[in-house]
Amino acid sequence: MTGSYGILAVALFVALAACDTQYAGAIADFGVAATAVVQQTRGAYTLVNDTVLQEEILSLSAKSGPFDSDPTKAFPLFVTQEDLNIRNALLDALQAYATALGKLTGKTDSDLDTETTKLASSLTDLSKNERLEHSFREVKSVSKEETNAAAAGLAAIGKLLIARRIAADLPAILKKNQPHIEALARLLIHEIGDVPTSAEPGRLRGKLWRTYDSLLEAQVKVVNASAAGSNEKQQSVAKLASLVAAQRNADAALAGTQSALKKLVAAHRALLQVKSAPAGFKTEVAALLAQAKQAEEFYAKLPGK
Amino acid sequence: MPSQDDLSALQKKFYTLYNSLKDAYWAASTVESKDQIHGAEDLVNQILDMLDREDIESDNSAMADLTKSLKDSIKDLSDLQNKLDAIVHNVSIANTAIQAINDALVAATKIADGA
Repeated sequence: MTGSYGILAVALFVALAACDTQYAGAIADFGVAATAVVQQTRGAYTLVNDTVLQEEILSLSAKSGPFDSDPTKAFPLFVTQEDLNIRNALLDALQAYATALGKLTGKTDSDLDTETTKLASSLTDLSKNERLEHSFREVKSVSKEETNAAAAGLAAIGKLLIARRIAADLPAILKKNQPHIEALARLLIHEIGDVPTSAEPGRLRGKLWRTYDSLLEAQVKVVNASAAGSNEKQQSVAKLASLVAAQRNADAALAGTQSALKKLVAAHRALLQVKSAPAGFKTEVAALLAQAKQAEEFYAKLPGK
Repeated sequence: MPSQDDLSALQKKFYTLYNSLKDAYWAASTVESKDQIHGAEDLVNQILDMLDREDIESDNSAMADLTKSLKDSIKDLSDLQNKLDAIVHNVSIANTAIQAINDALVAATKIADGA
């Protein structure tokens, strides 16, 4: 009898180790991909806020008289700090989820650290906070269902972070969290929006595009005011050309962020089938990382980097 | 209070107007006429920002701000509408912008008068 228990224990150990090995590589790749998407999305918010700020400051040149406001207060952020904190919490949740999966399959110490406990608690608090819904309702056409689903996602990830789990739970964890990952990504994708000429214009891409339109029109004024053939005209036309390219590239960065968030959801879905179809997961992650690399290069070129 | 549908319709009309004014801006040939169109674009931009960001249908103060901006814009947009034929020589672009202003004014008046 004791021998049977021994064999069973060894078999269980082998099964767990096999599960560990099958998932470990893919989970580690998913973690890298999640980090890239989270950074890219944070970059998107910074890009919009910085561009709107730049346009507001430059528009001062068209106004007469002295500047009589405190510059530190005269230019509030387009996406306010309070709203940015909420979006950062959503992104922290995605990142923490990927890290938690990594801890299940990795050999790192899975004991809860203070930071994780604090994050889990803040995610749970935010999921119940009316400010979450209000913050995203400020972005037109985000539905109550979407914010409710994201709140449920935050609560689920908060719970996962503090639960004692083992590697064998992984398939069930992935399956249970697929809708939560989709809900968080959907909310962020929706907020990024589309350009004014699209069928569903507005939100961050709409605002960024319109801000560049204003910058372009202001620059056209400078061009028109310069004498033909002068160095000043040459420089102002070159600046105009670079703004045209910047508008296109900035919008492409936001569209790329939407696409990366979609690919993160697809990669998570592919994780569910990683045992039966490992190639599918590899394809999803490779596409995501290629896109993230492009975004990284774009953000690295922005002023102040 | 206007419904969510009324506000969505208003947003669509103002985005269409925004795109038409952009075309008119580039088609206008003088600095003065570009400035006039740019002024209207600023108003439209301001209203689009409000519609994009505010939880208007449940916020009385935001709704009051929107109504005020709409009332202010109605006169200026009507003025521009009357001048567009003269300042934009491309007939097709001018007509499209005139029609877009008309549609936006109908939607804006509905909200401004109903508030």
